[in-house]
Amino acid sequence: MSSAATAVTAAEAGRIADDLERAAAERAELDDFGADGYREGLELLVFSVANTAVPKADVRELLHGMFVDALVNRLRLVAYAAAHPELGEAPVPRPLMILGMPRTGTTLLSSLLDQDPHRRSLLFWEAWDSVPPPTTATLRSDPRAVALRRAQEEEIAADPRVRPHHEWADAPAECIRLHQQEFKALAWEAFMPVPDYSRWLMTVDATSAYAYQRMALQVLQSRAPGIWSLKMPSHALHVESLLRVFPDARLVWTHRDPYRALASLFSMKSAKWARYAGDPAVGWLREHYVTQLAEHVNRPLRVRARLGAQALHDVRYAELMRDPIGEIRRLYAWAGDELTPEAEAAMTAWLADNPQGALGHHTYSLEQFGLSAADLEPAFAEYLAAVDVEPEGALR
Amino acid sequence: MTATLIRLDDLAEPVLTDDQRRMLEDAERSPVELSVDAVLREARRLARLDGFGPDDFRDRLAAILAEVDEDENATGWVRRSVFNGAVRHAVNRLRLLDLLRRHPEIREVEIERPIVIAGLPRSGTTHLLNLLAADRRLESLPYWLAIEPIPDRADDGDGPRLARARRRWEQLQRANPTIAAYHPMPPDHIHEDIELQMPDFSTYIWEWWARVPRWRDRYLATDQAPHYAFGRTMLQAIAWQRGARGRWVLKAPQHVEQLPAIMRTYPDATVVFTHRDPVASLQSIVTQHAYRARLRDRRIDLGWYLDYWTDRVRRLLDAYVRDRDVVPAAQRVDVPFDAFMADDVATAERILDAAGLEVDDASRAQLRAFMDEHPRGRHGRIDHDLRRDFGADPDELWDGFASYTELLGLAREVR
Repeated sequence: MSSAATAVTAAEAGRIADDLERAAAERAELDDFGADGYREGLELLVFSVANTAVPKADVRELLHGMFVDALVNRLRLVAYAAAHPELGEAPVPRPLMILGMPRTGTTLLSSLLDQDPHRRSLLFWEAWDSVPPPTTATLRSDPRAVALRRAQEEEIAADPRVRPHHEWADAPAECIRLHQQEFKALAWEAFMPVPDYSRWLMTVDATSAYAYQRMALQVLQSRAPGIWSLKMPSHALHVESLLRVFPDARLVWTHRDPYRALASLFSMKSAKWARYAGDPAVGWLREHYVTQLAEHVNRPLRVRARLGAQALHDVRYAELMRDPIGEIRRLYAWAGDELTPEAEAAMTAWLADNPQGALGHHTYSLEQFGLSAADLEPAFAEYLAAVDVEPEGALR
Repeated sequence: MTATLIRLDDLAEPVLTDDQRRMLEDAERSPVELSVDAVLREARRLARLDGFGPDDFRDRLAAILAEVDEDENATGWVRRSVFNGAVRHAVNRLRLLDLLRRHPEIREVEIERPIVIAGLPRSGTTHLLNLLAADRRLESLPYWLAIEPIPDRADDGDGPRLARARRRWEQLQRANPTIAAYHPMPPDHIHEDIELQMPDFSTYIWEWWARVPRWRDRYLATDQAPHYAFGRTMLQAIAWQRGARGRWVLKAPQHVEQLPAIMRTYPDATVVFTHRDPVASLQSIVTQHAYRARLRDRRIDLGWYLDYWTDRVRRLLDAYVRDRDVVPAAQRVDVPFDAFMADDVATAERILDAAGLEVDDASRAQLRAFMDEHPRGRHGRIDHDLRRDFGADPDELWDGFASYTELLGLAREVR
């Protein structure tokens, strides 16, 4: 990544972070941000956003606005939890947590699980606008959910390119929406490259993000209870932290030809960066994201080596596409949950209504990104030896 | 799992399922325009590509569409299914030509020494193909890849095509609940390679979709080698994209009457012939078409299907008798149906051996695993009775195939 000379020092980044916090506090009319584990990520993110050269400078304003949004929800959640101390005692038992490389079927899987009325998904709207928490009856009809859904539909009507990766307001969201409020989240890399922040995320201890998530889930389940079904591809990166906070989590690991996942990730990120920041930043993709993706598989491999094969349930992408209901049955059997005929019928109906897998824009091969098999084999050798995935011809 | 016997006793006066009634009504409500322009316009829109390559296909497409269009007995449903099929193949054509333009090196990909299975429907070809494909040294063509050989530019790997193939298979089953027992096509099922020629708008597959005797005459009167060459190019594109370097196993009943075209396209092929009492094949084909008539025809004429397919099977076999010597003896394997049924794995081993592929423990284990996972008849079996359902005389039908059955010394199965 070509980077201009430092425009903002670390101290100045801290002062910008103070300004953002002030703006959030004014809007929320609250001032307790809770435990300060979020602050290091926020400052580094502000620093990285300021000091990474991008052709479209207004992406920085967009991001600063989102930082404030994240802080506002954080303030509200912290205040609500403080006012309801009994919620902190409530267990968050046996959450089902889907992890794996991005673009390996985590969204499809979580959408299918969401059709089962006996499961509780984290919905997009409630992750961003958590207080007051929804009730079971209003989980999808809350005015906040309806308004956000309508705004999303208008946004897509104006620009259909937004569609393919949309998390609908009333559909399952990634846990990352909560982790963003702790500023330890890959999602903050979505709009522009932020190399300093990205490097830091690869080694950070994410325990505080899971503690924050646990607090948020305790609030959100208080009036809309249920055993959680959750997903976030990058749980794979932070799986050890996850297990510290959710020791009885049931982990579901999605698999796919890593070269295809990589080609897909590169296609997606370069398109989005080009659109928002004016730079596809392919050089930075090659430099950082091969390793990042490899860590998505190597870290769960280490957990499996430590805890045994049964610690994670495997779902293969090709099998999921070929026979989704069959994969769901296997998952339920492993998880020890009952798959009712009603839930299965709802999943089948959802599949009929929702085409899967198209990226919505051009996908490119790894060859087109300047990568060859020889570049990639070392990073993924261990994974390919351990897991039987079908090759998808991603090199060209 | 016990194989259920599916008895089709409503061929002449069908009792429609709810799905079938709805599909027929929907199709009548939204008619399609069976013209080359309409098909290609829709294909361009879907593929977001423009460039169909050599123009000769237009005339063939026009002939197929016109014949269905002029058939006053054709339902809106069959018109729609022909239209949708033509659009799908035109999209596949656009994608292939786009890929070839960007990667002309595809034409250099070697397709060496394929194993090509030729035999009538119901003579064991499908089972044999899927069994041989279980040997992981061999490349084969799963249904999802056959119907969409090249991905859309927005497809993220194989997933979207797998999902579309699954949905298509679900729709096929809704339209025709007997199809699983006749010819299952879930995404992974190994499919007929002539599907790859469809984007060149030839093959006898159109006869399976609609009543098109004029198309049959034209197809039979035309050298099919250029279309086999087109199918080979498609296969090269698939091999190139997937990095597939192994030998291919291919299959289609049409190959029985296209041996010269096969040998010109794949001179080093090992050709495997499956042989069976043709009346057994015929009764299955005719019954299947008679069932589909409820979707295709406004007035059902079962006799038409009996006559058409009796003649068609005879033509296939006559061509085989005429041309079989174009396959050199060393490249030929004959598989009698009863021997195959008696020992599937031994038959597969004999074929691999003849093709110069040593049968080792790994290969044997893969074949046996396939047999364990795919017991025959798990989708049920269709009860055929030509006498009862069509008033046909099996003795007469058998006699009509004498030049073939006597040459092969086949025993009668259907009486």
